[in-house]
Amino acid sequence: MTLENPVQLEMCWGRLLAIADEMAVGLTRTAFSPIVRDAHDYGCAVFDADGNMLAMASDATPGLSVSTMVSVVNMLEVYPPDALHPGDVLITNDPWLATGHLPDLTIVTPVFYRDRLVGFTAAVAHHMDIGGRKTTPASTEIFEEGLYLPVCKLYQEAEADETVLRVLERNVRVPEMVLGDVHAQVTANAVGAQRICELLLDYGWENLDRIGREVLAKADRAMRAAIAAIPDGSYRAEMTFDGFDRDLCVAVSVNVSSDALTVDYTGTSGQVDRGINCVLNYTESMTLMSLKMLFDPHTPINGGCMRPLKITAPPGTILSARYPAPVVGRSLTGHQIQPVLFQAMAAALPERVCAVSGGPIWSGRFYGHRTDGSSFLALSQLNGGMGARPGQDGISALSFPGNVATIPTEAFEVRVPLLVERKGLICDSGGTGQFRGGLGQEFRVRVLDGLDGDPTLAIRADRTRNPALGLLGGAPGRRGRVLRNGSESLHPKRPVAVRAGEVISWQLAGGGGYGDPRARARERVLADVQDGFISAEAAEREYGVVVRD
Amino acid sequence: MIESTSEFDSARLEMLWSRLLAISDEMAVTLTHTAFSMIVRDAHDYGCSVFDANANMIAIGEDATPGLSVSAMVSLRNMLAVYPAETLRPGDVLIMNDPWLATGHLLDLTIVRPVFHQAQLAGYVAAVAHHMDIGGRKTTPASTEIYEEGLYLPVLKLYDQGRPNDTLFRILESNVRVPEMVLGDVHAQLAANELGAKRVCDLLSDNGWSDLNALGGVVLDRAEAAMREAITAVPDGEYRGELVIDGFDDDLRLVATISVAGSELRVDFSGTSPQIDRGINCVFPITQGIALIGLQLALRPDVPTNAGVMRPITMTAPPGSLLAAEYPAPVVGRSLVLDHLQPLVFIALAEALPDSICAVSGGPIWSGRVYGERPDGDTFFVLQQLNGGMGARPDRDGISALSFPNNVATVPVELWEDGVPLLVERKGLIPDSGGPGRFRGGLSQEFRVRVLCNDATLPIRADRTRNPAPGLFGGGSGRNGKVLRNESETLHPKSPSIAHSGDVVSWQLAGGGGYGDPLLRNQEHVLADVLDGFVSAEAAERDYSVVVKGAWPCLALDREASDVLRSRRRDALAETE
Repeated sequence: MTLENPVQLEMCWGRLLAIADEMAVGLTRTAFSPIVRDAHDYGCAVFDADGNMLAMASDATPGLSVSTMVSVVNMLEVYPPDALHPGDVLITNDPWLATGHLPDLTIVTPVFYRDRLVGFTAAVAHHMDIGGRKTTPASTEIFEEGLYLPVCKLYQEAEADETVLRVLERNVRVPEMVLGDVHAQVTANAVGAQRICELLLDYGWENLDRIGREVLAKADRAMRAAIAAIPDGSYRAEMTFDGFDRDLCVAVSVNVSSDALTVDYTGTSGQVDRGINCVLNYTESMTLMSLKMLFDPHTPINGGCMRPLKITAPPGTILSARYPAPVVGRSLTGHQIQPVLFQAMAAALPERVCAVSGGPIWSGRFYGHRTDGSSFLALSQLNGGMGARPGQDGISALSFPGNVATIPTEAFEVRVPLLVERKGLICDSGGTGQFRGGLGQEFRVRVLDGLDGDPTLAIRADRTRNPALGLLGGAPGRRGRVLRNGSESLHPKRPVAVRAGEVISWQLAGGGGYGDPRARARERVLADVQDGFISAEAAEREYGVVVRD
Repeated sequence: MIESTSEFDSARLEMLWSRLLAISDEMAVTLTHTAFSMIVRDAHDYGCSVFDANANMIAIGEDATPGLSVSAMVSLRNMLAVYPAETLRPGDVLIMNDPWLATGHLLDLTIVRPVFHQAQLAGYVAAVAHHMDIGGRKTTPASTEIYEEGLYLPVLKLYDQGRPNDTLFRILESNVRVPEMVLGDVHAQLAANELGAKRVCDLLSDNGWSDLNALGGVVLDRAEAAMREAITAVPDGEYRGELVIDGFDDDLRLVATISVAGSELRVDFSGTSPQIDRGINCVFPITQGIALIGLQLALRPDVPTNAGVMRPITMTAPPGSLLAAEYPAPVVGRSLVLDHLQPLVFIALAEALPDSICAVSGGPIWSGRVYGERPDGDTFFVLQQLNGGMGARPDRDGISALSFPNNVATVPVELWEDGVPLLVERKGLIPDSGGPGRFRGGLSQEFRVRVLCNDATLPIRADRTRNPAPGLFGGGSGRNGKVLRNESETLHPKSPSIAHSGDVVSWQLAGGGGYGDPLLRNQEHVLADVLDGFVSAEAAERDYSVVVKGAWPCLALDREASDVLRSRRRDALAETE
């Protein structure tokens, strides 16, 4: 096979992407935990021998793009190519070298073909537990957040390093699940390695250089072409968000010059002593994802996308936090990046932006013991409403740009002594607009009997003070809140002890609206009232539409 | 190989036993001299021990932290369950900090080295050190599970036939706040073990032995016999002790029932409160170690500790109780409960051995840790171990500022203050804190610190703020302790607090209980106490019925008035009975 023409290039590129996707299938099918198996909170990718990322699985979590790119480069600094052998597997969860928080284990396998190093496969998974304080963002230092693994060899020439495995086993609450997922990641990497070797054999190549050069160059060119299409200049925006106890601010300046741009987060709040800080890798990942959506949503992501971009944040800010900052809940800050970038570019790319979404993703983790002595641990991830788009309403219960899937209620209930009383949309929570913001949802659970002691609920919620803003005349979505027994407001980021019989209601934020509500088509308003998305009172008050039975 | 016990006549046995003890003591000196941290170097929070080839502990350093004895006895056996003796080779070193297999919390790293002599396994040496940091939540007892408390190392090889386990060193380095210090102390432990191994080999060569089993067997038997002798002297029967302690938020109960039958003794902790969801739970090995201290002090303080002293003793506790907590209980602050065990044993044995015990001390040890940031941006943390007053003894007062039976040393103020934005305003005794008695409980102390930086974290560990140290045989309780900020705000004794520049934090420890009727205290001693500022003139009258006249320092006893007062007081007490 050859790469003589665009069709053949497309086929080969497609095959690389298929390898990354097949790695993801391997990971999901052999994983033990619902986070990986059901919520798909992971990333799989293929690299050339120099550590350039050539392809990433299409359902990879957005926050892992640049992180994974730099992880491999950072790991190669500890184990350069001449220190690597067939059968080696590297592992780390160092937030500053990899993805930004300890629950993500990054596993990288060097790929050998005919005794030569030709590339790497990488699988990153968000694990159910890594020890520490149950991922509460109330943590004050990295040391409270769990086991920290420096870059080390999980396997050395096919022999497992017992130290790493036994230390990992000892330090997590669910060792069978964590080790199970680790082995799933190793499997995914092995699948990818095998497919790469088959590809090389089929094409008669010695390494991935030829296809690598092409796909990197194509992604680079596509991104440049899109950047060149907008006027040179400086595009700025600033947005306030909840933070931990007090509001914080993300400030961005996007400077476009011909076919390249820089993103500078100077002016952003300083890092804080609570677990919501972002390391630079993670900031870059969220930035790249947002820029790709704006400029070049179609080209598959690879290292080439980054070439025309330079992303900076002053060290010590909350987007480039310094060691030993607490970072476990970094997505609570990281998910502010896409809205602020969209706001900055709204004037230049009005048809590409949407209003702010009712994200970030919320999570509720329940930990406890039953009277029969067994322990339980379950996680629910919840989406708020997406911001409205030019020409379309925002999708309800989708915390754009997060893409983790919700764990099905049945799968959730089976693991914990909880009864899900309601999982449904919240009427009137979507920001009004010509195009309505997506609705937030309510997830209401009752704590059942059979408990030993008071189980812990680790809450991670946001947008309880700063709603999702609308665009171009659209109104903000409703704020979120977490209630106990209908009236007691719980702190959005501190763990709390709960008792049998209590009812906890997570009410997520709605997305912002787009455009003037008075311009909304009457039929749509009527349809919304009929669907229960908008109340008749709101239809009249906000949209000026009177609905009669 | 020893053919007969005649080889161990008394003089020779004494010399050999002393040499054995000297090995563990010399290991301790090596540890202190090469350690990096103030905990090991100054506070001496460690233990060095020697084992025979059958994994029996035959010697432990004299200055070892109490309670590490039984932990040492069980930890080696637990480690050999993972790496059996026959698989060990010269150059192997084992390490772990598993609380349930050893000392009860993650901060103690146990490092063991098998000793080989002429290619044969001859015994083991072990060094345990309490490290400055192991990650986690800065040792606050507010932790709710073991997972919050730091890096947990199962039994692993730190060295494999002389080759370092780089992965393990790097993992340790990545998970602690002060890696240079922790690794420095690890190497100090390795140095102590290396020295111990060498001395053991010298001992074996000098005596033509292949291993320590023969000598070990004799010292174990001797210690056992000595303990049996002491137990036999106690009348057969059941002796019960009970203590209510502060716990975390709610009071907890400790119960010990000591049964003596001939030369055997059993301690049963049934009736003790269950474990709780805060970091003050005790694992069973360390419970036994501290209880053993109480028994040794009461029965046989003169015999060096080794596995032999445990042979006539059995201890039991209900699994899941505060004294036999089950995984994954939080345990970092277990000394806040453990330090009540020796008093509990003394209370149980008080009637049987009134002259061998003392009143309850104002322990446990309080920890005065402060974490913060220097003006130049570097982080710091310092550790202080604070003693309350010792309980009074049958024939003399309790020593002030000594949380008997704990033996950790205080870090000198100059060292503690050095290079950190903290100023010690006072470190001195608290008048009237010692429980009244014929023999007065030891006074407690105040440690008062002015904080000179913002956002300093104090993971406070204090106790005896609600349940004072009781007296014995008519003696009164010591004063309760408290932790104050800026004189008026009481801080929670077991939750972390944040202090800012200008705040003055005062740790005021608890006094020891008194022994015997205060009305029997020698009046001259009361006068001396008032002159020394240990007892106020008001308290002299109120508690001892002794009248002191004049203004300090020109004080004098008013014997007549005192005699009258005492007489009246006795009459009043007789009437109420």
